Amino acid sequence: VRQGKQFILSIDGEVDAAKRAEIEKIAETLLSNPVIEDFTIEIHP
Amino acid sequence: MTARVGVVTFPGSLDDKDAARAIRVVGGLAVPLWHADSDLHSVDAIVLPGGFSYGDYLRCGAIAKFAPVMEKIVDAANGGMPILGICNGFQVLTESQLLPGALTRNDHLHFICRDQKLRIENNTSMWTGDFEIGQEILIPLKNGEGGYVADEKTLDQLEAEGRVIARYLDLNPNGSRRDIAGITNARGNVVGIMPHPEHAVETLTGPTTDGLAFFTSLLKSLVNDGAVSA
Repeated sequence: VRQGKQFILSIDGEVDAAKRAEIEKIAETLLSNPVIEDFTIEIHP
Repeated sequence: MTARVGVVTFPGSLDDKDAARAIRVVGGLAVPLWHADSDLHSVDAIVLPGGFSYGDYLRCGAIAKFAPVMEKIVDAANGGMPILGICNGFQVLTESQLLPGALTRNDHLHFICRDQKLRIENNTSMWTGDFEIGQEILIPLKNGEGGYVADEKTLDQLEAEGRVIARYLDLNPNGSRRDIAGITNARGNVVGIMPHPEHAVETLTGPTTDGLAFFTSLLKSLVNDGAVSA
């Protein structure tokens, strides 16, 4: 069994490298705690 | 000069008044700090109290680490200021990466509230100098997410460096790895503990007065460091 959380972020415009980096930062510092959690990011246009 | 000890109130903190009282009981001056403060009001030390900061949304302590006051506290901690995180405060310290590891949901998934026996294993931190190694104490424990976890390497390092300050005795109430109830950073100024020493400072309301030694230890550390005069 795998249990987790899903966060859906709505982004204005294209997700370019800078926005992707910002999303990574949010995921790593706020939305997850890397000590106990892993995360993956999916982008759906 | 009286030691000035800040007690931070986040929205959802609930043990800040007891922490302030514990500081007053040992002769310190408790200075209220607000989560939105960007100034530490010249305090000599800080207590992060128990409670449910920001409703424990997302993860316990996760949102508190972004509070303006925490930015100052992280800098102060790295500069050597004594910081004690109790319960939710311990969670804030791990989320802020001032202490290693994380606190996870109790292994039995229930909130627990009991008087808990502990064994003190470190008396060199700034908050534990007044204890004897091996001393057994009884203080309240109340948490839903008190299971201390870290990877094996980190746990081995904490043990090797004598940084486990207290372990649960008789039973492990929440599944904490290696029965760990509290730890310190390498420098000994930042301490996190899951049970509540501030609730055991007067016999009228606490099971013992065993919690007092955390606060008397702090005052002595401050005098020894020259931060305040005796």
